[in-house]
Amino acid sequence: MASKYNIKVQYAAWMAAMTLATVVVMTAVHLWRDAAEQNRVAQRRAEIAAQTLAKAIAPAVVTSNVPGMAQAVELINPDKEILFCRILDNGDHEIFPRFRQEKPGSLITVRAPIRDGSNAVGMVELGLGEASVSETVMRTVFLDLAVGALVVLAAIGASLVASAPLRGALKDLLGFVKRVDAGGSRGERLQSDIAEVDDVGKLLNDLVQRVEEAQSTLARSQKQLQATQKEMDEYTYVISHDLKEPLRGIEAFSKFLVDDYRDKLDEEGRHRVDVIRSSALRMQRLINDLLKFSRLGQQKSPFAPVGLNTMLMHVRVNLQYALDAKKTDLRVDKLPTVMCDATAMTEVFHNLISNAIKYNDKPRPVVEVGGTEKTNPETGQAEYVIHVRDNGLGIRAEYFEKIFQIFQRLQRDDEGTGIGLTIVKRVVEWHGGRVWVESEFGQGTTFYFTLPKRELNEAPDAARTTGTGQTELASTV
Amino acid sequence: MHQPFDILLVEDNPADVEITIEAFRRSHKGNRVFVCRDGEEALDFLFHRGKFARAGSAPRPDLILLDLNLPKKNGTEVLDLVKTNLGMKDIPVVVLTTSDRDEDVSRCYKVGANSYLTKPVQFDDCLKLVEDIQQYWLHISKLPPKFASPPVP
Repeated sequence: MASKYNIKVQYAAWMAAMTLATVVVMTAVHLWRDAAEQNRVAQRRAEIAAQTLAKAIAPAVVTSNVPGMAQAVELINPDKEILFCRILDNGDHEIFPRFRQEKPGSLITVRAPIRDGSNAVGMVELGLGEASVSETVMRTVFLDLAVGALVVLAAIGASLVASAPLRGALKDLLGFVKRVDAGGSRGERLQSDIAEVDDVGKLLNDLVQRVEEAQSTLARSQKQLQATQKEMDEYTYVISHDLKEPLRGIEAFSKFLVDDYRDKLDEEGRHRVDVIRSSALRMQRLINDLLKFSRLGQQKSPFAPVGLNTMLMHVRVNLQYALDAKKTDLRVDKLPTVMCDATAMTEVFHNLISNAIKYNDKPRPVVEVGGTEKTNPETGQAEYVIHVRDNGLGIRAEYFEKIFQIFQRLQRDDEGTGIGLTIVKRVVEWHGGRVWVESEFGQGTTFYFTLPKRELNEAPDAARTTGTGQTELASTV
Repeated sequence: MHQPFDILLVEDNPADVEITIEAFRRSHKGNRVFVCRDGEEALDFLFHRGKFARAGSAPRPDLILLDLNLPKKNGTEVLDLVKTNLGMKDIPVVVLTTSDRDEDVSRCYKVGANSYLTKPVQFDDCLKLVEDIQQYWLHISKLPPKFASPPVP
């Protein structure tokens, strides 16, 4: 986090750096300007002093009166400001000894001609020290730096004050987004005095509102869908029961007819009564299947860990008669333990395997059950893909979808009602999986279904648990 | 030969009444079956009211077969009234209905039903059921002595 851009620190740092740079530049400018000015003034003073000295010393030079020269020099330099002085004749020879032998480079040197009337008789050369100049300039520097430091502090303060509303607005924005993320805005709307943040707030408000509307619509639809589904199941259940009532009458009274009026009915009459009875039986099966189907939607128990191999053992026992009758070889691979409703999942295997046994014309019918763990390409979640494969009649591709519809059958037979695969589909989808079929007509069929891999944990109210933590199957043996 | 038992059948569907009576007839046990077509009539029968006020017209039944879906007073109400009546509560009541809903089953047992049976569709199964009911409730089970306690209206 430390490496992230922090408005407070960054603003202050930039303001400080910029003001500091300004102060330094200003100081330099001051320094340069003051120095130039001071030099100009000193130059001017030196020139005036040189001219004055040249005028004063002229008679002494003409007469070569050295003590007179010394006096004139002494007169012109009461403050000892002049650090260097030479009197030269026309041939550039020194005719008066200099004050100091050395001639520091920092001296301002000026020359003035010594005249006798209009004739130049010599030259005065003066050197003035720069000490006084530096002192003035240093004062300027110190003053500038002191003022500069104050300005830098003021700038930092100003940056903090100026950025405070922005920082506050961003903090509000963050808080708002966090609250929305945690559980909806609850009607709260974001407003800000900062125009840019307010713009963001407006967009965010719109977005939040749209998301909330979409969520509530979705929740409503889901609730409606569930209610409708429940209603449908309830309806199916009631209807099925009501349909059974007249059926009982048809069944019983056609039987009474056969039993009590056998002598009075001829062969044809008995056959017709038999058709009534077998039709009633078939209707009874349809209604029972419908009841079973609607009950699947009504009685949803929590999932519990179930070992599919154990489950398949029970299914095998239940189907033993059919297996023996058609000499079918049922081969079961190693299967996982999954979270499911044991009763419903038993129904899935029972239906798929009994179909595989029933719709087989081969001399050595084989049914294989197996499963692999895969990753769902769409969700990225781990899931089990279970298959039930047979070498039976096969299904034409045009019926791949239709077979899962309720009461859809591809063959007429006396037992089937066409609800088995519908139940398989419903159970699998209830468990969060998909079911599909692959088949080559005449070669065999493979039904696949998936079960999302879930953590194996015991539901608190799971019924009938054994010491191994696996739910004992509701056996129908 | 034992004395015939008296069974009260409370059932509104005429076909079901006829089927059940036929099943009793074919079971050849010689028990008497009285039929009431709705809940109100059943209560009149049990409490000797209305058309059953005349003495001897409505004997105290040894067993009640009760449907749930009844006009006027429904089966659960009849069951509740029987089981909360001091003079009636010892009569075994077998609920015989089409519903196999868990709610119905548990509600009936909570109110005091002695058994809950669903009506089979096929007559052969009906016949078997009627035979089993008589066998279990009237022969295997020991019933409370008749007229041990008079009905309290």
